Amino acid sequence: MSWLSRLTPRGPGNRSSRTSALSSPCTADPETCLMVFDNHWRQVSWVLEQRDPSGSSDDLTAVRNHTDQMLCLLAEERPGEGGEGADMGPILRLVVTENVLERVVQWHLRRGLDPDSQGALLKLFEMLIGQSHQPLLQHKAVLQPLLSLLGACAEPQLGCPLSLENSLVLLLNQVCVSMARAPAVLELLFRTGPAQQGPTNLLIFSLLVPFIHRDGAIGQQARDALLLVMATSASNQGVARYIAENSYFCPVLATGLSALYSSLPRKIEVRGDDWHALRREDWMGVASLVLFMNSLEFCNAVIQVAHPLVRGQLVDYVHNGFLVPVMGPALHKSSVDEMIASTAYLDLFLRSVTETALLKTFLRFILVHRHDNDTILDTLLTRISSNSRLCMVSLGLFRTLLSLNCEDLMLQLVLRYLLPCTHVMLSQRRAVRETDLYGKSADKFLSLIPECCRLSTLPPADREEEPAFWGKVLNSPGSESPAHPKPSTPSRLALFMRQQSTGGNSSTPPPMETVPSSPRGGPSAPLSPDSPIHTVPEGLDWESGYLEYLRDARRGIELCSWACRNWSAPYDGEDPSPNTAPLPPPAPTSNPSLAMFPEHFSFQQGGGGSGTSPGQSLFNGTSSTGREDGRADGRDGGMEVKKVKRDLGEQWKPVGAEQNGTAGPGPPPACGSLLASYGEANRGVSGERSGGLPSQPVPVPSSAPRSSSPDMLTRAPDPSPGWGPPEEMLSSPSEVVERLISELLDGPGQGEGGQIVPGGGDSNIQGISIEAFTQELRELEERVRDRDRGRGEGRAARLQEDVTRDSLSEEPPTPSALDADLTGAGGEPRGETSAMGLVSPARPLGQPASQPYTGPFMVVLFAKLENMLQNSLYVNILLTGILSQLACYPQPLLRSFLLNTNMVFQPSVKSLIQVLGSVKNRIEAFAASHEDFPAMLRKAQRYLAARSKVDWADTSPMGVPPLRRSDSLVKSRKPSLGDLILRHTNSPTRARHAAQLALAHVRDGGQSLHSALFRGGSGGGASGLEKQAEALRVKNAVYCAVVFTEFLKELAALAQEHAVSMPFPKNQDPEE
Amino acid sequence: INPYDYEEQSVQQIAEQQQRASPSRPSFGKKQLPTIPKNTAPITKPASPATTTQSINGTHASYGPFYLEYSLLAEFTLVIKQKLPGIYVQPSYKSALMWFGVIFIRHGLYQDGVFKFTVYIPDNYPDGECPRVVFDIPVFHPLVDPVSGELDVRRAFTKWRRNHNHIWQVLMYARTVFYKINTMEPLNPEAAVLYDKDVQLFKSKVVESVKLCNSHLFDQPKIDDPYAISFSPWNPAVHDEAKERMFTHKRRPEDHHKGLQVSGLSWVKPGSTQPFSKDENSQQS
Repeated sequence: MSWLSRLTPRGPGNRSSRTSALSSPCTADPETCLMVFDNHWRQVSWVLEQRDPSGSSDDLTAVRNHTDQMLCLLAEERPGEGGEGADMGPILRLVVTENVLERVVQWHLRRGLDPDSQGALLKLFEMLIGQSHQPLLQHKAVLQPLLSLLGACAEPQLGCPLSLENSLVLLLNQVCVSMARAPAVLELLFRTGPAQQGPTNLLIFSLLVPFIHRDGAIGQQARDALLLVMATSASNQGVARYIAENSYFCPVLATGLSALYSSLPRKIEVRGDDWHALRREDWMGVASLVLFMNSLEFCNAVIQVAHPLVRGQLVDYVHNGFLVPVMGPALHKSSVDEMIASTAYLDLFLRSVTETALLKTFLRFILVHRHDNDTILDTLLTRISSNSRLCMVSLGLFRTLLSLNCEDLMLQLVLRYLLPCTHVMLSQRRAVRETDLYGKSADKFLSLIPECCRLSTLPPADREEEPAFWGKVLNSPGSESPAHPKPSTPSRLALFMRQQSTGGNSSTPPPMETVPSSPRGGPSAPLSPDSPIHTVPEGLDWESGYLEYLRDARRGIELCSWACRNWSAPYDGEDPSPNTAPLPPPAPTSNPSLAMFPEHFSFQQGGGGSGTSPGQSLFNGTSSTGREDGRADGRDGGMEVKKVKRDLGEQWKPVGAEQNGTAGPGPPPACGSLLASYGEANRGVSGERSGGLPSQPVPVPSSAPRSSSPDMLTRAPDPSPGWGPPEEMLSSPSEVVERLISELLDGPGQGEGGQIVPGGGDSNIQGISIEAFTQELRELEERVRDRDRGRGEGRAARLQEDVTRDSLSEEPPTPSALDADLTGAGGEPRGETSAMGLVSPARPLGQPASQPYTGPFMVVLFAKLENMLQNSLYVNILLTGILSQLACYPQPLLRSFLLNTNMVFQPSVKSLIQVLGSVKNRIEAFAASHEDFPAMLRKAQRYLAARSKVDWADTSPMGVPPLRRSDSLVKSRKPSLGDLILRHTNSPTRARHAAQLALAHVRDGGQSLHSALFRGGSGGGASGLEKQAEALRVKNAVYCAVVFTEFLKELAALAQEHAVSMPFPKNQDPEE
Repeated sequence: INPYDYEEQSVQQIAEQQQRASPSRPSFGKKQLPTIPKNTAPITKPASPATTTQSINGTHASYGPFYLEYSLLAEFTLVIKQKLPGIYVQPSYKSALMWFGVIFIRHGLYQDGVFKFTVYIPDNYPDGECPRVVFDIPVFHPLVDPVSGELDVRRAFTKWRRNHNHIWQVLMYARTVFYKINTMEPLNPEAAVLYDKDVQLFKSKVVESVKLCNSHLFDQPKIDDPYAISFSPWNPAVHDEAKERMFTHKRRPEDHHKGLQVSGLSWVKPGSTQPFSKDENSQQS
């Protein structure tokens, strides 16, 4: 209700300064005032009674001067004393009996209203209504002339000149404020339409509607006013019906979103490697996006306060007038940039919407609506398997979706595939409900921590940092009770720590025990708060925080089961019954749109024969996993490179200047075709509207196009400053290395000042993005490959074309759906609900439905996970975050699928533990082939820890929060490691500081992280190109090892916490 | 429900006592067993150096203590979920392996009996023997040792099988023995013989024993532990408010106030597996 509360202070008195300019207030006694008023009125009426209304300008001036004085007196008048009926002041009584205002207004109208007088009258009335000490609008003598004046403003031939729009909206706003105070006025307004305006026309309303999407104060005032009408009419069936049936309010609001959307930047310039979602600070500076978000928020607010009739209609219009015709095609654009932008927008919208009804519409659109035969959900799912930023943005969107804890979503995404229980062996079905009572599963997860990542492999010299474990335990507020001394370290926990630090030999005092009053210091000695133990040491405090993981797991599970408490079924393998559950769509076999593009990247060039379809290679994954580290299935290679090339199609351009620190050439040409199709979509909308609706043109916000063109987002310099012509790269590999180092040093989020570029973009171009670098390397790879052999391309290219064409083909919105819905206002769009779920979204090509299949979401996540070693750090953080989000769900079907490591699945079903096992093998193989792996690992850990710590520290005071649900979003991942990195762009300076801090260690150690990273692997005589590729490969792998280890702890903690969690009773809090 | 709350809700007399006497729960989460025993030699045996060296190459082995505590916590959660009639338990502050309990007998020979007991769980749980149940005051019962107060649990759980046997079953058994008297191989032969030969005398002995137990109800707990169950006479100044709080208490996630506006989203009609199958009108608006 923030909207409404914001409105209330805007009462009278607010603009006293302006009124004082009109005339001096009359402070005399009421009788004198009445005499003065009467005097003025006699003179005015003398003029009014003149024969010729179009009299001299002297007449006009006289009337205006007198009217000014009169209305000022009226506004100043106090209500009379006495009972209910007699509370009119004497002036007001005179105004009513003599019908003063009506006569004045009619005189003006007869005379022909020039803009000057029109403006003056608007201001007069606004002053009168805003300032009056007595309620005026319930008097017909005031209301009628007001409506006459407004009616004149609504007349087509007179209308309201641009210059007067402000006055008009202000007046309307004022009227709505008074109306909100005295709801009876609404009824009067509703009934007292001027005759020529037709029956029951809520004039105020139709005058305000065109301003809905305006930017600036005028738009805000109009929206505020409309919202007041909405709130006031929430219980008035008649008005609500009028709004729904006779006004353009809902269509204008919803299709206006479409218009505003079309002016959003089609490409989001991204600097930070980690950028994957629009945060408030990203879009606050983008005028067109602010405009859109204002309107969306307004929709949200209307739905919150309006009558159910209006609410239902608006929700339907949003679906059929915005989501389906505009958002749908936008999500299916063929250029990667646009996919990224539209996905990020959708994510932002989902996070901003708070009203359940509106959220439902968005979800229904995503889950049920079919665009080109595929649901939006299917389309979004395929994007996860892409290589680029698109993957991260898509993961970000799914994180948002998962955080809604929506049963319908989870059903479509995962649960419907698990419901028939065909993925488990028949004998195992009973085990679905079992929890990890004795830590078996947890143990299994932890046992997958690669040998090379175990702490014991660290040399003792690195162990002096004491893990924050003690500090955390002892610092917990729960242990502050004075009655009992703080429980000091129990020996078993102490042992737990020591084992970690000394490799298990508890007889030798570990180095950490040199710290005074360390936990060893006797069980009865309570620690003082200033004990050194409480100061968290530098660096490695995330390392051993298993307790933290447990705590997080508990919170995650608790919140999730709380949020799921009203689901329709427990999903425990019995309810809904596996036998009656409809068979989910089977796995696609050769659907190109669902093809996986593993992020493999391999220097093994033997994989020319790209004979298998990508989908197949994915499902064969079990056999290929763990075969050899980092050696991707070569057959994907050709295809994948093509993919990258396509992804890069538009961005690619020769850049020469960047390495000298000057900005690259201008932006890539805007894609005209997109503009056209947006336009088309909009045209489609308005065209259809004219069919089923009153044919008033949809007011398109006039400011939107204007503000979009100079938009920073589209104008920003080239997004990927790291791009350079290959020749240059080849000639100076060391430069690349240097740049990578400086990239780490500067941190992706460096950069100062008010850049609008998300990710806190910096204007000095030296920061090379890892991602850009990855892609560049792939381009180079491709060139190398091209040179070496030109074969094997054809097929891949053909396939690729298919993919592209597939996503290119978009159709204008089908009119039928819209029409159908318009006729049946308030109803659900028919034809979608009935068929859904029965038709496979993936267009299965004759695969037997009996083959167990856990659904595209799980498949794509597992495929991505299996590929962890090659994923970028940020992809891995997002990916593991989503999986642990999934693992928080208390539904036994899902829980057992992810976390029960004893479960026996059907052979065709890959389990999480299998995937993790293969990643483990790859990491260990990698570590074995790099002798300096431990050192690199340690440095990577330090870097991440330092980076996260700095960021973590600033969460509370002025941290992120603006988006409403951001809190839960942001914290969805383990704080110790993960999403801090994702948020660091918040404060570029701090991120930089963190990086420097981290690298200070590194430098002291005599070698930089990157020189360490780069040293490995590349054989003598290797080309610079290979060196770079190897460097990146090493870097990804080392970071992967860190994330993987933490992820396993997280999963173990989740498995343990599930065993001790208590369900919430259903419907406990109806008020929630 | 917070396990402790459950106990509090049910045994009001205990609760307030508890709340005042006990220190706030250590470390994280109220639900957890006390993580860290204090001032006492923990009953949990730390992994011995020998086992440590054996598991040296498995870091995960060092998570062992977590497994034990979580196993016991999971057992405790199961107890709560079982909602055993008239039985309340509370793990000790000092060790997760020691649980304090009280059992209310509501009818039968032992009607009105309120028996406090302690459960001792072997430290190699769940691979060891079955847990022991010892009554604070030896109840006159064929299966209760007249000297130590220990209940013969082992006859019901000859071999403790993980995954099949749970502590709630032991508690259930401890309750059942008071309703179905078994005199085979008794720990208290006198009681057994009396029950078989002279039920009237047995009954009067039982009544005596119940009286004795109840007369010691307000005694200090036998074991000094902040979480030991202790009774006190009803004191309206203290207990009324506590009772009120228990009845009005609603469990919420610990920090659900932040960032959980939209929740419980579901438009699935019960019995259906189709999204958005719920009738629009039936939804609360």
